[in-house]
Amino acid sequence: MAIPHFLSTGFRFFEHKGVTDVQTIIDDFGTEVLTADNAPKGWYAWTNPSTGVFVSPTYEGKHFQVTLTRATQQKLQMEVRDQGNIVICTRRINCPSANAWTARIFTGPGHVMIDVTMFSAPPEALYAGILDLSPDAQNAHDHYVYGGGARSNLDVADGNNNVHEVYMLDDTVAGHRTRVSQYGSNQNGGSNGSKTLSGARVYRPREMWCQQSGAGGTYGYLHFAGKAYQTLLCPQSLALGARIYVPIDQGVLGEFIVIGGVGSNWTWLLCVRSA
Amino acid sequence: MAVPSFLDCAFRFTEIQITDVASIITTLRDELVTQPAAANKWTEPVSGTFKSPARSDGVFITFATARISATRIAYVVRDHNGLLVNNNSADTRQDIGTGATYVRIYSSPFYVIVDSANPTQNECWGTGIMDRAPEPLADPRPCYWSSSGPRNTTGDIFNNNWFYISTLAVGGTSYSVDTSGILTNTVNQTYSDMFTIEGTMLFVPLEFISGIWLLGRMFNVLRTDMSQQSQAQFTVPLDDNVTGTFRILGWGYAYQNRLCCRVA
Repeated sequence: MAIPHFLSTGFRFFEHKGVTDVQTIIDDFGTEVLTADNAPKGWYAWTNPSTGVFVSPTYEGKHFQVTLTRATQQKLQMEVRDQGNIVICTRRINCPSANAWTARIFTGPGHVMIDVTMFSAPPEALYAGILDLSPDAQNAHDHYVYGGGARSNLDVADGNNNVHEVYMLDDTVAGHRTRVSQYGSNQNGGSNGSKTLSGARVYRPREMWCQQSGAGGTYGYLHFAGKAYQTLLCPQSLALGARIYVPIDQGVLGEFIVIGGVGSNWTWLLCVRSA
Repeated sequence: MAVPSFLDCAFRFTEIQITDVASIITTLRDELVTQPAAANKWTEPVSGTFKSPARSDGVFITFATARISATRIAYVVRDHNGLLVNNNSADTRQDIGTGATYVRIYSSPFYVIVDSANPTQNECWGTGIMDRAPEPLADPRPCYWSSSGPRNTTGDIFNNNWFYISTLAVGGTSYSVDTSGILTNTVNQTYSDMFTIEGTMLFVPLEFISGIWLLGRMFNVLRTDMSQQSQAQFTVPLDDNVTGTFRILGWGYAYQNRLCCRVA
């Protein structure tokens, strides 16, 4: 056996408790991605061409860019751009003023997840990344950047944020849609086979589909684009923020944390690698 | 890497051209009872009734065949407890054409599929034991499947589609077709097909579910794009250095997928 490619990239995890200003999250994010540079661990330093702009390292020929902005003390905005500088999405989280929060920052050359536990409000998250294009070559196509988050850039919780609802480029148009492999029954959303008969949890890759170049429009078929790095679908029954240990190869466990800020759909939640 | 367990079992494939379904029964006898290696041999406790290889964990299926007429055969499948697996009808029937008809038989210690190229339409029947790896086949209980079609007891075309498969639900006491019991990995309620953006055709396991429970996978069978024609063959990578040849089965398509079964 071997660790699947989409789980074999470098990754880092940083948790900051007691956060009261989203600038702290931006500063923590910068520290995580700009100062870590350790190739044997798969950590490659990002670049920071201007304030709040972070460009991922070129990994397997692919890269993406996020821009983090402090809209207010409680409002954090992430703009995601692909390798061609096309804006994939601009999303926000709104944090409460009544109390401090816990920010969990997951990063790697191919993924970003900022998951904030609010305590007095439901958790919210921002995320982005590039896809593992297996089984095709990693340079097979250019529709590989994705993103998402809890709210629009007008702070509206518009519902375009769940395990299966993701922003990507369809043909030449960036937008959100249900585009993640559902891993459930077409007939009944509650049927998903997320446990074996012996009670073991089942995990699935977060696979994304989109309309390739020239195949847009209402009836443009979606094609398989790739898998999100260091991310899994996990059973909805898990508690938000739970640390779980997933066998990723024979004799190899990965620690993942259940994401609170990306809603469930078809009974799956997300978890992202932390150790 | 390694070949997944559900693709790593013994298998046989044969193609015959027949004018009487009695030839299906004699060929099943040859393919299941006579030809396999000792460990993979089925038995025939009663003439025309076949029992999958005895296992120490008690997992086995039996199916009885009956010649209804020269062009019609009937099957009755039972699990290790004697429960009727193809439970939507007293038996499941299958026709061949009135002229010489090609019939393909796919078999292993864990399944049998009989695909009749009836000139009017393909008719496909099958039954088997599910792979439950990484857990044992029999713990807490083995899981079985049987096609609902291609014909019912009255001989009418009925559920001649791989989507209609009879299984035993968790907590259930009798087998039934669970239309919520097939796991789909494509995008729900959206036009999608089984190709990557690069054009590589995707092959994925056929997995059975019962509510939140994963029952298991069909051995040596993969789902792929519905655009493929019955009996088309493909080479599929199973591991870094291992490929298998799969052939599209005659069942109708569902979820924009067709099934294919290993032949080499």
